[in-house]
Amino acid sequence: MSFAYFDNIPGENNDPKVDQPRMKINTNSISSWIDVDHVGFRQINGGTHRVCSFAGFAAPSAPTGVQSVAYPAAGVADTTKPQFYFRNSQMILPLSLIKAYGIFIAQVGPSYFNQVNMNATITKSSNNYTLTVNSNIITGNSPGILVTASNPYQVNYAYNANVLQLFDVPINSFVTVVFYQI
Amino acid sequence: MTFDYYNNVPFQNDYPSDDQTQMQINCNSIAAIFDVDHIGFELDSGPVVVGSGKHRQITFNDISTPTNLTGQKSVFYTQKGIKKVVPNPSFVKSTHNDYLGLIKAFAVFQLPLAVGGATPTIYNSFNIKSVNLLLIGTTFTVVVTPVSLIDNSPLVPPNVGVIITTSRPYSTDYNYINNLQINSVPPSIPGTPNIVTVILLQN
Repeated sequence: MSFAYFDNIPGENNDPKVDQPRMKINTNSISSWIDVDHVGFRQINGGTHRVCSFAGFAAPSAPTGVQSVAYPAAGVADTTKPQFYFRNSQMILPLSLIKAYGIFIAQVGPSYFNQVNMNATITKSSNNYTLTVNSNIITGNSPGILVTASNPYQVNYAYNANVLQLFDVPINSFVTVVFYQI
Repeated sequence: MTFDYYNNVPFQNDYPSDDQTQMQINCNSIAAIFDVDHIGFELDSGPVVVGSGKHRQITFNDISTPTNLTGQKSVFYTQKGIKKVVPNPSFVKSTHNDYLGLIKAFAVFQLPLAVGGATPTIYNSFNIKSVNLLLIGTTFTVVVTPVSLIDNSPLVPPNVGVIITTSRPYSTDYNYINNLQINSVPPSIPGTPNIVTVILLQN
């Protein structure tokens, strides 16, 4: 989508009728341009955002002082897809570091009480649990994984191809798993 | 706030004077609407402006559901959380959605010696109201209370994700009912502090 816009009008010596078509186009383009990501004219809360859309990767230079910038750029594990970063004068922070997360109780018929980007199915075999991250979330087989259980637990896991196996989880523990990757 | 605006001006067959009022309204509305979240124009009647076009902040008027993302396109937007139905920040691309607001509270603190009292040294925290200790035998019970921002949701087990790590050997043992109670945490010992990191998550 693009919006036509004419600079330098009305021209200094032009009859207004000469510039009228281009001025009208500008009038309408301004309104349409604002409407892309913002609440536009004649609407409540005009000027606020609906979304913040990014057309591709960005590479902002380092801000100074109290300036900062949030932007998309290539990931490290997958350089073809955007990740979301925040840059200030001193550092770049990866905002989209957490890729998936879930909480469940280690018991018969386990299911998530709260999760993102996890397949809903958890399988139990003895005190071992198999969890699956949805496809296209993790690249490769080396995401960061943090596991905490509410009952005493020496964390013991294996991960391969989106599948996390937790071994010897104490029964009736609340278990939290978090996957990290940038 | 609402900004009036007239499309299709100037009209083709109007005298300029016919449209002057509407064009002036548009002129002022354009400057005003940019000013909401952006650094706007330097008005001839206003102060010097540095940084025109940049954002001051991003105010989201509502939740949304971006679609049709391909290639390197992406969108920063808000959607409702599941447990606490308020807007949460999200970043979506062609493959999936990243949930940017999962971490609701965080603290890193050092436990004292077993003989040193019951006051932790809090090094860094966010959305944490208090960290209290109770010495039971040779270990501490640690109670981490998040701020009311989190309390007023039904945060009972297992609605809150909990990540705990300690610098001294420890097998996690906790329960969460309105606050986080971590049991049997070893104290610091001379020369070896026990530094505890707690992260509370929820969507």
